[in-house]
Amino acid sequence: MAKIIVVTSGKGGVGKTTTSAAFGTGLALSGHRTVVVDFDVGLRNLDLIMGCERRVVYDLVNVIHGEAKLQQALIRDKRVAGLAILAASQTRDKDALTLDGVATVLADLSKEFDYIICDSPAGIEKGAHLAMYFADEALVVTNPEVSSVRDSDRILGLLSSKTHKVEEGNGNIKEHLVVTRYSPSRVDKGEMMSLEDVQEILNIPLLGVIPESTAVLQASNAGTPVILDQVSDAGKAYEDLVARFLGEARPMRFIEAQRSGFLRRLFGG
Amino acid sequence: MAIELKGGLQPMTELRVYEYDMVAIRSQMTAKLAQAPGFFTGSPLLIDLESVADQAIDLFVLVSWLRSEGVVPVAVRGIKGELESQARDLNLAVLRTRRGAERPANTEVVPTEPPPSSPSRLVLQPVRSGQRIYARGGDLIVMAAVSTGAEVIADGHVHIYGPLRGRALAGAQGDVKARIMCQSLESELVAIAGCYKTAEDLGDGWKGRPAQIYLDGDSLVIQPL
Repeated sequence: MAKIIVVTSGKGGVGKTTTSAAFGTGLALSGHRTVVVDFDVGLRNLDLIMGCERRVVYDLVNVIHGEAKLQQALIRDKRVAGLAILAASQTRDKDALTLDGVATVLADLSKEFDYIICDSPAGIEKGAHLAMYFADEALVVTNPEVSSVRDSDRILGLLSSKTHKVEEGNGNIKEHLVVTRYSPSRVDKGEMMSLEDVQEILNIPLLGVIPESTAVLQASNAGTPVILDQVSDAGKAYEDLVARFLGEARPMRFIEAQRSGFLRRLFGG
Repeated sequence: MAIELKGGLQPMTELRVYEYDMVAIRSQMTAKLAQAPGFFTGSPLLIDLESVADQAIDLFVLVSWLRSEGVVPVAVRGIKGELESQARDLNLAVLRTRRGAERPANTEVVPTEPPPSSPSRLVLQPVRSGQRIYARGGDLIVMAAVSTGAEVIADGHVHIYGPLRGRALAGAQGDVKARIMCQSLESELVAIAGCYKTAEDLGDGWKGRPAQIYLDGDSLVIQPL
C-alpha cells in the first residue's frame, strides 16, 4: 500500500513545489518507487521544476475525466530511476477535480508506487483540499515569517479535521515541519523569526531546515530538482531531510550563522 | 451521510421594541430601511419584546408588516402566554428572555431539584488558526495553545492552559459572571457577555503572564492569576 504524502503550506511561494520535487527525487534515489502529482490545476509548475515540461501529453484532469489512461499521463523521469511525474492541467481550473476522481487515481498509483507525493497549490480551496484529503503524512512548508506561520497554522487545523483519515476515525495525519528560506544571520540580527519561534507556534516535529540559497533559483531555471545539486547547501539540506524522513538521525545543518573569516571572504565560499 | 447538525453562532440584528405603537414603529423602521437599503432585506431579525411585556401586542400585524418590507423575522424574545402561540403560528422561534431564566406567567412556582451542573467541554489539541470551538451551555477548557485567528467561545467560563493568542468569548449567552483564564494573555480580542477589549486595549504587558478577565459592571477587568 503506497504512502500518500501531501506537501502543503497555505501560503504561496514558500517552497512547496521545490520541496515536492526535491523530496520525491530523494526518495527515488533511495530506492523507493515514487510519483509526484501536481494538484495546482491551471497554474502548474511541477513539470517546470522537474524539467519535463516538454513531455507533457496528458495530465491529472485528463485521467480523472477518462480522457486518457494513467499510464499515458505518467511521465518517467530521465535522470532518476523509479521516479515519475503526473502533471496538472494548465487549461482547466480546480473545478475539474473531483473527490472520487482523485481517489481513483491515487488508488491506481498505489499499485505501482511506494510513495505518492501530492504537491498542493497555495490556499485552502478545492485544489489544496483534495491534495491533502487522502494523505497519510504531511510536509508543512513554512517560511520563518509571520504570515507564512499563520497560514501554516490554518493548514494544520484543516489537516486535523477535514481529511479522510480523521473523518473515518483512522487516527491522525503525521505532520512534519519543513522550514524553508532560513537565514541564520538574519535571525541573529533579530530580523527573522527563529526556528524556536516557529516551532513554538506550530508545535509539530521539525523534519528539516532549508537555508535561503541561490541554488534554488538556478535549479528551477535548469529544471533539475535542487537535491541533485549536491554542492549547494539547499541540496545537502534536502538530502538530510529525506534521510531523516526514512528514519536516519541527522543533526540539523545550516542553522548557525557562518562567521566569515578574512580568507573566506577573500576566496569566497 | 446526508446531513450534519453543527452548533453555530450567527450574528443577528435585534429589533428592540420599547413602545408598541405601530405608527411610530412603521415610521422609524421605514427611515432605517431607507438609510441602508439592502442591509435588512433578507437578513434574519430577532424581535425583542421584553420592554413591552405589559402592553397588548398584535404580533401578526407587526410581523406581516416587517415581512412586507423584505425583512425576515426569525425569532421573538421576551414573550409569554398567548403571544407564544401567536409566534409559533407565524413560524417564529421563541427565545429566552435577555436576563436568562424564563419566568412563565401562568404556572405556579414548584420547588424543583437544583439543575444539573453544565457540562464542560475539554479540548486537548491546540486550537489552530481558523478553527472555532463553542462550548454550549457550559465551560470550555483547552489544554494547549489557542493560535491567532482561532476562536474559543463558551456560555460559561473559558480556561486556557496555554497561551491565548486568538479570540476568547465567555458568557456568550449573556452570563455576566463568566470569566476567562489563561496562562499567557496575548489575545486578539477578549469578550464577556458582549463586552470586549481588543489587543490594542490589552497592551503588550500581559504577554507571558497568567491572567484572568472578568466583568465589573460594564467594564472588563484584567488581573494576574
